[in-house]
Amino acid sequence: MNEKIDKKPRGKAIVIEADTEPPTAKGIKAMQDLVRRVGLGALGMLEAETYGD
Amino acid sequence: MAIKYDPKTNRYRTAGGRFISPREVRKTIDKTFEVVKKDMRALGEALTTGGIDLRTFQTLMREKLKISHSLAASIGRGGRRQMSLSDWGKVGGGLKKQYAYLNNLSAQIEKGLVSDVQIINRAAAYSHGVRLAYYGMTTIAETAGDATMCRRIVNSKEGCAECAEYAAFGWIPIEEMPEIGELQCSVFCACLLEFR
Repeated sequence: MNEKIDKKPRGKAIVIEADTEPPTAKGIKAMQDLVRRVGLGALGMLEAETYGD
Repeated sequence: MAIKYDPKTNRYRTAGGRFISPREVRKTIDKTFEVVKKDMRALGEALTTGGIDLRTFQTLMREKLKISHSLAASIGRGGRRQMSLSDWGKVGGGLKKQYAYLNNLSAQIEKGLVSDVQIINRAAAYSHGVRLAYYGMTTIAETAGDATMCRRIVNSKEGCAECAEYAAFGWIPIEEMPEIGELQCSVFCACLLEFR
C-alpha cells in the first residue's frame, strides 16, 4: 500500500497553517467573484441587508 | 433584486417580501459546491499534467477552501454582514481540519504515494466541505433564534444507515441532531436539515 505508485517529481510540499481571520477586502472580492458564477440569487444572499432596516 | 435577511425568522426575503425557502437556499449551496468541485478538480489536473507544482497546488487549494467555506457559511448565517467574529472563528475551525487533510495529501503526493487519478479525485472531494460550512452556520443561526427542533431529510439515493435512522426520528431537539458530515457518510452527506 505504501509502495511508490507515482514517481513524477511534483516539488516539495509546504505546511498550510490554520487561519481564523475574517476575509480581507481581497477575500470578499474573491467570494463575490465566485458567487457571481453561481447566480445572482447567491450574490443577493451573500450581500443581504437585514430585513426591516 | 435586493435580497434581505429576516433575523426573526432566519429566512431570506425577496425585494417583494416573499420568503425564500430553505430548499431554494440549499440549491444555491449545491450550485456553489458544483462550481468549487470543478475548480478543485482542475487544480488536481493541473498538478498531474505539470501545469503547476505542488506548492502552487496547495496555495491555490487553500484559497479555494477559504473562499468557498466563507461564502457558504455567510449564506448559512444570513449574509456576510451577519457574520460575527465568533462565526468566523467557527469557519476557521472547519478550515483548520481541511488544511490538515490537505497537508496530509500533499505529503503523500510529495512521496509519490498517490496516482494521477487519485490526486484529481481527492482534490475534487475537498469541495464537499462547502455543505458542512453552510450547515454548521445555519445551525448556529437557528439556535440563536427561536428554533429548538430539527429534522433530517435524506436526499441521497444511497444515503447511509445512520442518516436514515436520524431521518426516521422526525423532529428532535437541535442539540441531539448530528451535524451534516458527522455520520457514516461523512463529508459526502447530502441530507437537508429543517428547523422550527
